[in-house]
Amino acid sequence: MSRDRMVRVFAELPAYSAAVAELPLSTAITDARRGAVVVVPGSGDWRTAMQDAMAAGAVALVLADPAVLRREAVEAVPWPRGIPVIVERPRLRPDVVADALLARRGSPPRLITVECAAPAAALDGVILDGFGWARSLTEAPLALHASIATVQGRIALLESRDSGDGPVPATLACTPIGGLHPGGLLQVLALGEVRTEVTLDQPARLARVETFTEEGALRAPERFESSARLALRRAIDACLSDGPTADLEELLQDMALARSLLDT
Amino acid sequence: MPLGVGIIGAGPGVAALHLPVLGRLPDLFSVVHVADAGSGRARGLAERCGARWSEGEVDLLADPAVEVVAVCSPPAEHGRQILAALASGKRAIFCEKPLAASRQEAEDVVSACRAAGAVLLVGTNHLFDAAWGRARHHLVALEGKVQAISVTLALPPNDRYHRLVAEGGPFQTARRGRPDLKDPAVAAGVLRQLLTGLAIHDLPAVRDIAPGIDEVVYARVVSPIGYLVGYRAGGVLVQLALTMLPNGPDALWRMSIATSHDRVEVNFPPAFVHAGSAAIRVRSVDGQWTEYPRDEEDGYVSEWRLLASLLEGDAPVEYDELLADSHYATDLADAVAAKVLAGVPQ
Repeated sequence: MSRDRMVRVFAELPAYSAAVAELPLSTAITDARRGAVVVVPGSGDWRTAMQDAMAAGAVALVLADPAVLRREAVEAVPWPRGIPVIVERPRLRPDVVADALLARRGSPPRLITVECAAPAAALDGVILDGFGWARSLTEAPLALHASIATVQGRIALLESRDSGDGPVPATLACTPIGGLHPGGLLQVLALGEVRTEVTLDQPARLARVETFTEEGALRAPERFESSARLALRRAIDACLSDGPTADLEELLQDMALARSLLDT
Repeated sequence: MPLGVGIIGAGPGVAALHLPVLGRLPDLFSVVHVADAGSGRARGLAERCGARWSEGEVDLLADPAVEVVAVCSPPAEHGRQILAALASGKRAIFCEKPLAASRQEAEDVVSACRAAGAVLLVGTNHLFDAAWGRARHHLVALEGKVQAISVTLALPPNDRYHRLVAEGGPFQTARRGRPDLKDPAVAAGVLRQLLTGLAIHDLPAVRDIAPGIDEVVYARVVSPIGYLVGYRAGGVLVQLALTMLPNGPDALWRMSIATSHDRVEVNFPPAFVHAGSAAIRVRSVDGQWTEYPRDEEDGYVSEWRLLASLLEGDAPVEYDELLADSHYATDLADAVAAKVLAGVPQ
């Protein structure tokens, strides 16, 4: 795909119609999936929807805010391969994750804590992205070591794969809360010689990344680009570079952990 | 007329904490005697405040000017010294945390204090922080069901804060060799020490809203030194996390309480310094965050003020609560050590 060619986007979600309008030089809406970047809503049976889109000739997929699938679906193989898959995770934006990692200047965390709270219907998604943040900050896959579930919530102990500095332990706690807003609260702490504190609060429209060192505190700038536009830009880049993307693999890792915890 | 205080112990906690705190309360207390266990440090500390000094606790307990005995020695000595103070006729005791090293010792100490009608206060300063009192009131008033509690600590070396409230350091005890944390017995011992030495700051507050320890879900040491502990207390899930760092940002000392509606976050100031009370943030169910300012006084000052109130008879001594707090810490340390020794997960 050449850079001077406008990318056609097949999207039914309003957020993506808006994103296409915000990328007027590089994208255009189309009603045909063949040859298009297809946006797959992350609700319902999105795995089948992805396969359908590929079969219909999509050149790339954007999976928008995927819900946690049932264990059988997560473990089923094969997963769609062969075209770029960009996963839009509004609570785990790659630009915000990059801000957090960059500010750490390579200092590895000693431990990570993740706390999630959301209305019951939204909690699984917040947990999914909580695992994603822990994985991102340890920069290694995680394994679940222990967990417990009660009516009030769940807690879990995890450990990252040893990537040289020793495995990093992490904990996750999640609790259902009342309220009508479909979003939730995610608070992440990466503790060590550098401390990262992430607060993502959808009802409050708050996304804050703070880094603390002996010299003081740094708050990353707010990211005003919509999550959908960012995902579309990444899909375009993936098409142009023809390179692999890790989004789907990472999503499946996080989902396997979420499923293990939720099935406790 | 201020009450005469005799301090048993002359370590960093006395030099950097209790002497400056008592110096803030000249109308209530006056340090009249300091005793060490042979280090010779008592003399230097006592001379600065015009007090007597001695070695061992015998002379201090025989000193008629000592009306309040402050037990600030190593934890293994606490129980014995409290009983010795009672035997010497003293009837007002401030004991640094932990109160005792075992359930039996705690029973003995509290029974003896109750029988003697002695005032006893344990220096779990976070429990006396005015902000914690307000947070607890908030939890009760909102009638939200508590679902989970997390207490997260990331601490730089204490010496950073000692230097701000004392002179003549370093106050930090020289580190002995690094323990072999891969050995479950060593790891269990380290965890026990950290829980009864550091987690103890907050365990009475945790017990207040999550009494009982039903099941330890996980327990492990964290490099370079620290812990991760998760347990169930009735329907409440509790997570304790600590990492002690060789350097890094200022101390994080945070208790978060998740209810079915609100989340209450209590951020305590670093140990030793006097930055006021904890700061509280409350996140309501609709995503509204409310931050409350710090009070002027911290828990260190508040605990000594409370002791004065107890001695005035303005408030009763809560012997049963003191005993239950001690048992809670001991039981948790035992359960965590057992979990580690069972080897799951290590």
